[in-house]
Amino acid sequence: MASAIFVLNLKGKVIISRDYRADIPMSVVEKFLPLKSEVEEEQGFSTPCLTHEGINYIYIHHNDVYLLALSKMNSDAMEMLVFLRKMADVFIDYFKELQEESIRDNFVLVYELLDEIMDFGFPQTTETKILQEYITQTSNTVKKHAPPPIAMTNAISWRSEGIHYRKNEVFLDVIESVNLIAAADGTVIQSEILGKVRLKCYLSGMPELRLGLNDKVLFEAAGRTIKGNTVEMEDVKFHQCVRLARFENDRTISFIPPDGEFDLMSYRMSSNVRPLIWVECESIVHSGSRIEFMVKAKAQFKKRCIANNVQIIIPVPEDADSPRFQTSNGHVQYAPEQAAMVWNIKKFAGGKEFFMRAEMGLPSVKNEDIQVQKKRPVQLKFAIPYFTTSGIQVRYLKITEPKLNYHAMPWVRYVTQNGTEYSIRQ
Amino acid sequence: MSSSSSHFSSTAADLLAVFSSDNKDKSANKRISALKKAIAGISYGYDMSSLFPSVISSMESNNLELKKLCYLYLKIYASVKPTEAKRAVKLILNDIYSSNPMIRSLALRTLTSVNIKNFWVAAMDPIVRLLDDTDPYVRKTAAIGIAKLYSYDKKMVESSGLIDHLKEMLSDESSVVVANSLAALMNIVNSSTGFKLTFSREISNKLVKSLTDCSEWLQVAILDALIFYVPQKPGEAESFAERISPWLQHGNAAVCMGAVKVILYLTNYMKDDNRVKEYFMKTQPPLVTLLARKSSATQYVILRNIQIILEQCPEMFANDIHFFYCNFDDPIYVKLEKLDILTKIADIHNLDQILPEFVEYASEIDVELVRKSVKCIGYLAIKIEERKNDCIDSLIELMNTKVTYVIQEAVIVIRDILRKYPGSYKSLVPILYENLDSLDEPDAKSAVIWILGQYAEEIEDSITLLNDYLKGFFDEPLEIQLTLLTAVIKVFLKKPTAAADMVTNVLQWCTDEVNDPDLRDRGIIYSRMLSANPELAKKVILANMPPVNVGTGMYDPDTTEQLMLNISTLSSIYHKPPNRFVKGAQVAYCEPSPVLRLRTRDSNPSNTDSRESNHKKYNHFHQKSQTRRVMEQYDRNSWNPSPFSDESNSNTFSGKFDSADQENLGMPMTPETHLMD
Repeated sequence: MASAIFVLNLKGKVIISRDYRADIPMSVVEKFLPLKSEVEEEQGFSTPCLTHEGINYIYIHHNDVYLLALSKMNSDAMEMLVFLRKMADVFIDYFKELQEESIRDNFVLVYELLDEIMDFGFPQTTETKILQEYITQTSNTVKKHAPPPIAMTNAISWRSEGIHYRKNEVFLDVIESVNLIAAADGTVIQSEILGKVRLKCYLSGMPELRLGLNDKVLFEAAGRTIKGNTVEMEDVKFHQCVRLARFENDRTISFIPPDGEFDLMSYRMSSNVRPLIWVECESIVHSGSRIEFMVKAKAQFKKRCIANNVQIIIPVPEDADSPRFQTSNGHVQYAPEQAAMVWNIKKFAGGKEFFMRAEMGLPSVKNEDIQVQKKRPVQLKFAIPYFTTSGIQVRYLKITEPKLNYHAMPWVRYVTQNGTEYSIRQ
Repeated sequence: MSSSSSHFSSTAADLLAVFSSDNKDKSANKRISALKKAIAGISYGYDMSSLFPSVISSMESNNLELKKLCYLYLKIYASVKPTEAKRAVKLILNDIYSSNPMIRSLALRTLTSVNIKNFWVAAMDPIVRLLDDTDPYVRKTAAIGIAKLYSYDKKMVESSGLIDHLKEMLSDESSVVVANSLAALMNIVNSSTGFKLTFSREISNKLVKSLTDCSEWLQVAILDALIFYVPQKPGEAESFAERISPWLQHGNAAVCMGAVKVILYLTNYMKDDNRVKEYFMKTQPPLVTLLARKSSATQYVILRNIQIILEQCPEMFANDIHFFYCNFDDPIYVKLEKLDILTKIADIHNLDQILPEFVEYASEIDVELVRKSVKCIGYLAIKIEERKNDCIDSLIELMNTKVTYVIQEAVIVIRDILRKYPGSYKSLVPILYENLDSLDEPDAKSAVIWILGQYAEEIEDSITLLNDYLKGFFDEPLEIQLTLLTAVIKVFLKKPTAAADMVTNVLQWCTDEVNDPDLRDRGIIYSRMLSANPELAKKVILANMPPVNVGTGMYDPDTTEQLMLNISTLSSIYHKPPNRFVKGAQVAYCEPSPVLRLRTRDSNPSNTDSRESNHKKYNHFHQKSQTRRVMEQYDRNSWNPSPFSDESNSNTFSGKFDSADQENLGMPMTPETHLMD
């Protein structure tokens, strides 16, 4: 629980705040940024939870604002951090972007939101669709004597009654992010697939959905003969709409979806992923005047797949100048602020190999500096549509609405992309 | 929505005119617009308090939007103008009886949110009535209201019977009301000293059933409460853990961590060791998944908690070390935690994978990460004796890079390695000799001075080198002065003729010229020992020191138990029991029960060593140092150095020179000298 919530700008000035408990003098917020700076100076870094004179400061940083919760108690740190994140998401749903200006333009709305999402420091609801039903600001449809939305106290806290679409549709996106750390010699040090099933639901009433995947555990439990590929997920996380007890019992993914777009589930696999795109990078320093790079990139996935908007980010010495590039495909640009060159390849077909040469001037070279530079990895960004590294497939999505009995069409798309880490050490 | 510039241009006087124009309902929109401007003005720092009487008059409107704005204004200004605010109480009480549950709830929330006695006294009767309201939204607001009133006036609430009413709400038909009542009740218990909370099996069963019907935030509240259920019969804990397991797969990280906490709590009441381990392992996949989230703050919380859990289940990640490899763009505070965990789970079987990672990180650009990596490699050389040569080779390799901060950190861990393996690795001493010019940090200087004293025979120029350090003796911090004094005495005992002048000078400085009582008294002790009985002094000062042992855990079992009961809370972030940073916080512990597991210390192999009294004392000291460092990091001002100093002084001034004192005489025990700080 929190005693107070603040939105601060990056100079530590309060943009807006809400005191839920009146047990902390509001002036202590002025100590937040000095405290953070002090910790950074003494320790070299700051952490998301700080404590000082009995007050705990829990915060996240988003664009040009801090979202800060103060607490005098031994609060649930994860709850507070997740709540601040969800609060940011609510603001973004309303304002399209969360920054100081959007808060200032919507003071009254923010006050009302802060009043509804938390009571006495206890999180209440962070479902934007539900909030919109009774937040009076920017809503012209609220009736004078409207009762609280049933979803506020119903078991289904994420979906309202009475939703109606003329055309009922569901769109599924299966998005796999591949995390990879590889050594220069090709050894895969760490690889991981983080998958996400994102739904866009335009369904009327209170539909019941059931999702079927080629889940190995499910198939084996059913004693069914395995035909075709199955996948084994090491861990799965679900949106709160999914019936967790049922999944635990028989691996059935059944749920009443919230309206609109949401992440239904995420999954993780630690399979031995072969690098989808491999990069070899050789560099030669020529007697203190220039450095030459020879780079080869290879697409190690099926030929019928194409990687889009590939970016290969190759670190170069910080004091390099006069860049010159030659490449068979794509284009290369020098990004001095990153101390890197960025090789952009719009379409990279499976099985292909592309080459690039670069030459840069060096004002001076010290072995020590070169050594330090070499430690930064090559990083990649890419997206491969119609492809999952894991082989996961959506086998069916059954949609049942007991009262309305409409027919709805599900659509499925797949994409594999780089994860937060896709790097090749040098 | 009006533009900001419009807000700026409005003054309180302008807005006041709107309110006084007429009182008909059709002017509600104008009043709404005026109030929005007023509230925006307040947020910009303008004084809008002169509008107070007009706002109170507007409260009588039936328009929900206008009413909300009036209540918002009231909450902002009530404490500034309490006299004006009191006039609103009657109007709010009228709304308590509104036919609209939205308004009833809003009115009660406002009444209980203002810390003015007239407000919360007026709320007492309505709360009792609204606990029975037809609408669950109103009932849950009333339940939370009781916790608010308790925070204003404990005695009033305790004598009113409201807490008993609140307990009855745990049986409400709505799970939302149950969960909010639970959160309110827990809040009351946590902020009082008179209450002790336990839940019966019946109540706990109902709570578990409610999990299915609650929103994610209320699920967090319920999971928080379930550690107040104490299983009484064999199989009860297992049954509950099984029913909570599904929530390990909830997408909200707080719900997932709540489930982890309850399940691991319940293992304290399971008999079968294999079953206990099974449940620990069951929490591993969800923890790893949370670790893969993009949010660094979430990662940080998870990593801090994993460190605690590893204290009780060291083998939890034995086969999954790669989850803790650093990503290039992890923030430094995540990387450092990952290194701590990798060091914790490193063993003879996985070192082939972990050691190259540390060598890799020791070549990174980030100085903090490099230092930590070097320190970890040194730690592993001590921890995994069978592989010490590989670790030491890595340290030598890193020192050859000639990076200053690498060398300084390496010197510190080499000092510890030499202590761990006395008589071995003397070949490291010449390597240190070659790098002396790089040392300018107190910790590194202290380490090398210790080495010069300890290995005076191996270092031809030890006296010359010590004399170089002694040139700046009076400018050095106490820690180094103490180390220098001890080193000089050691060298004198080993090379009496050559070091005679040096020792005479230093002893005279310490006994006659310095002001620090610790340094002076130690100098006097040494002086008397040398003059009274040099042979005995040699036995005492040059005796073998107790061994360095890194096998024991970070914390003693009691502290670990405390932290395990507080998983996911701030306590688990700071690695401190709640009472160390929250005034008046209760100390949690596992309630006795017929099925409570006895904490078996015999299963910890390092306990064999702990039978030696020297080792026990050393460990105790280590624990204090560790605790101090952790406390400094998070709550500097609450740290009271006296107890630590007192103990240190006590050891220093002991009249007997048994082996425990040799530890202090041989090497000053300051927090900075310890591994893994």
